[in-house]
Amino acid sequence: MEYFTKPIGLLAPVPDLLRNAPSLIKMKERFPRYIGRAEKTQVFSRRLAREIILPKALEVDTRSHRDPGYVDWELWRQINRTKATIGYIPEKLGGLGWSGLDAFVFLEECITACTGISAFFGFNFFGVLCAFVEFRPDVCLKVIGEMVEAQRNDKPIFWAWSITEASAGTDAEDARAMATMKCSAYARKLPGGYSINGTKQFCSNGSLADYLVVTVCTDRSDPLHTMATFFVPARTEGFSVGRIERKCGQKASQTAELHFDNVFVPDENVWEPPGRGLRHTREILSVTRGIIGMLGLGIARGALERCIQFASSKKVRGHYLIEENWVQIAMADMLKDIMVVRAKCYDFAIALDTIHVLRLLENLPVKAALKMVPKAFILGESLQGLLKSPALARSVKGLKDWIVTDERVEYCACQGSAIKVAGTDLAMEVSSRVLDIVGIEGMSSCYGMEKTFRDAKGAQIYEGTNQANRLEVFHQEIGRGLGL
Amino acid sequence: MKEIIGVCRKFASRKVGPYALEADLNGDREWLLSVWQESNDLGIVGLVIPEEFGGVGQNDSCCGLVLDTLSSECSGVASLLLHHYVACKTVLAGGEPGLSPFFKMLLNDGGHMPPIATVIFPSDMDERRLVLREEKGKLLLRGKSPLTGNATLARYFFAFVYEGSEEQDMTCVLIDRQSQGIPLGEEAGLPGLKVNPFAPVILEDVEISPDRIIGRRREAKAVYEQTLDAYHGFIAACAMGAARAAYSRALQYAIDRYQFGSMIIHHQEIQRMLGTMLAKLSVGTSSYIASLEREEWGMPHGTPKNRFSKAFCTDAALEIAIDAVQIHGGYGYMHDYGVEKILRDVKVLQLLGESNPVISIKTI
Repeated sequence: MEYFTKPIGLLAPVPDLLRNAPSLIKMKERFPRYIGRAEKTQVFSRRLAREIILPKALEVDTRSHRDPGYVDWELWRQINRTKATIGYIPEKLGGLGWSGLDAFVFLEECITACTGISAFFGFNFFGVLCAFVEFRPDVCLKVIGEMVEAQRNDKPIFWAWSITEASAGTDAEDARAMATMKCSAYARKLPGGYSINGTKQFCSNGSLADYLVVTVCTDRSDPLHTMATFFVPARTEGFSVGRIERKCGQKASQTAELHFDNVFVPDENVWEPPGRGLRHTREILSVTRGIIGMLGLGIARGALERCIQFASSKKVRGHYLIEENWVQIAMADMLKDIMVVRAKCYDFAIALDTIHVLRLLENLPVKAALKMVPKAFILGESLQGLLKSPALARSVKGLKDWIVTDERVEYCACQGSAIKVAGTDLAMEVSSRVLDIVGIEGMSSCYGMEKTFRDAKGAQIYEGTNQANRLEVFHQEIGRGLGL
Repeated sequence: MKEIIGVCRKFASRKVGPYALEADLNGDREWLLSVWQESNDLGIVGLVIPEEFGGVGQNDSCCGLVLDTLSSECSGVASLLLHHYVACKTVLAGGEPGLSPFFKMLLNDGGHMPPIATVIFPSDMDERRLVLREEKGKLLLRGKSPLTGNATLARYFFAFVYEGSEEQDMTCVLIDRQSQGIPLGEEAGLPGLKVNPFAPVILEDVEISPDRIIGRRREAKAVYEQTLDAYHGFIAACAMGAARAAYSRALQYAIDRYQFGSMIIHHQEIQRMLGTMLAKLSVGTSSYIASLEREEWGMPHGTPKNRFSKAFCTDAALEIAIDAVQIHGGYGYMHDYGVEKILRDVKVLQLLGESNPVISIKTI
């Protein structure tokens, strides 16, 4: 930490959002509030990253290495007090009212400081997103109410989204693959609900979760047409957490095995019926893959910033390492790639605000409701009860389906895949290359660069391996047009 | 030589492989010393030392293949022998008159187990420069050394230090850490080769007796170059051994793993990855063996150089390890499967000696 002194990146004195993404300058003329808020979010996130996350990054990594189940709750509380844990909830309801752009800006700063810690509290959003994409008004408001309440009481609520199985990783994320997927977990229809049996693998935050969203098929011989999405509170009888994995990097974020032994899910908690599970998964992936691309970018930036700090404070043969010509060229080369990928990441974030689920908040009825109806009523039980009416639920769902069409979901999944591959491959390349610059001395754990190297590899694998994501891009952008 | 490699392979798969993952987690010092003891009994420790001094007297390529074999089970263990071999090489490079007392120290410690030795290479970093000065007729050594392999285990440190500000003012000295009570700095916490923790040695005006000087100035520079050359060749061997393990694990996993409608070995992209890995592995292996054998070829120009093999083999090994983890998917990222360990080990091997960009720059 002591070597983090130069005023660049996380330590830069002035925010640089518009400098990093100059197209936003034009956008600011048209949408001053939207871009203005993103600028404020950057200032907020950079401070959080620098003052809360960065000082803890190495310590939490070491402790989680010794004990994969370790959680620094004091750190969580510090982050929680800034409301970053519920940043995506509208301001009126108690959150920070982040747009997609805000969320990406936030992630970039936090991940630059520490991928593991950011994933620990940030991946919670993936689980909550499972509820939001459902867009059942009563469920959404209940979730929001609980999250806001939990934030205020400094008591964590964790959500986890679980799709991977021991015998099927990326197969659970794509229609072509799911048709041939070998499932182990399955759900059996019982009167009034389903009973889930089996084991799920590699579930981020699964060991901390209060609520789980799980995709399980009802017929293992035909997963594609029988995959369903279930909502399972962790206290449900028959559910248990297995082993917490010992990972190469991103250690502060727990990855767990989940066991389901005759776990009963009542019909009201079947969020997507058999056959609709993949659609639900795709919709989440169409958001989260882009986020993982941004995560990769953050890892790369974190590695490069640490390298710059090191190279500008250590002398070789009488001059600073950073004065070497080859080092300057290498740094510029990495920065160039970071600039290019960042532009695409922000572009994608704005697309999520424009044509995806976040657009719903801009929609007139939702906007009007948020503006005019008092908070207590929105989060109150009477409205939630009212919203349970099937007719109303249908019409709200219709509104969502009108905005988040299948075509848009597939389009965003493809864009997200491209960003995921670009960002995470960049993370691996940059985190390795900076070590070549700083050499064995700079590889000491105290400089944090070896950690970014370990963190980077995982990002190339989860949320669909980069190979699967490349196939996604091929099928959507090339194969489909040619009828392949 | 074939026999030695055969013995070594059996030893590695029995004594090293099954415990490597556990040792990666807990840095089991006792286990490592028992490996050292048994390697000594098998003659692996004394491989570099000529027969007339009580060693086994094998050539560089044999040492390289032994390291390759050990590294395919655990690069951390291989790195212990790697640094010891290089220390023996320092003595050999020092020339005839000085040989016997130093080898005597390395082989016969009075006990049943030969002491572990290592080399402190000079670092480009100014804060890690060791300076030797003369004061009242005494030679005193001062400074914090660069990170050194075997540091926590070694008794003898062959160190390349400076007597002045110029690069030519180099001196090679032997430090007996145990009997001189020299402290170590904090362990570096490198991501790989964890069973062999790297640390700096802290020298606060340590007296060096004249009989512990292996060479001064031009002589020392020549010793340094030969030692570094051997270091590079042996690093390349370790890297290829690790890459070999990564490749064979990835191949086996691809045969066993079902995904996207078939065993993944049937997917062309996986075949392409494995094929590329194998190509790098075979070119790398022949490159390091050829460069270690070059003296026997007797060709002064155009023969392969160890530093190039080191650069090529460690880069190739890293790419192979990255792809091997990728083929394993999520399992590859988990400690239990052992491939991510190879990735971490290989990244450290890549940075040992001179870093690869620096090798290219210094060549021209």
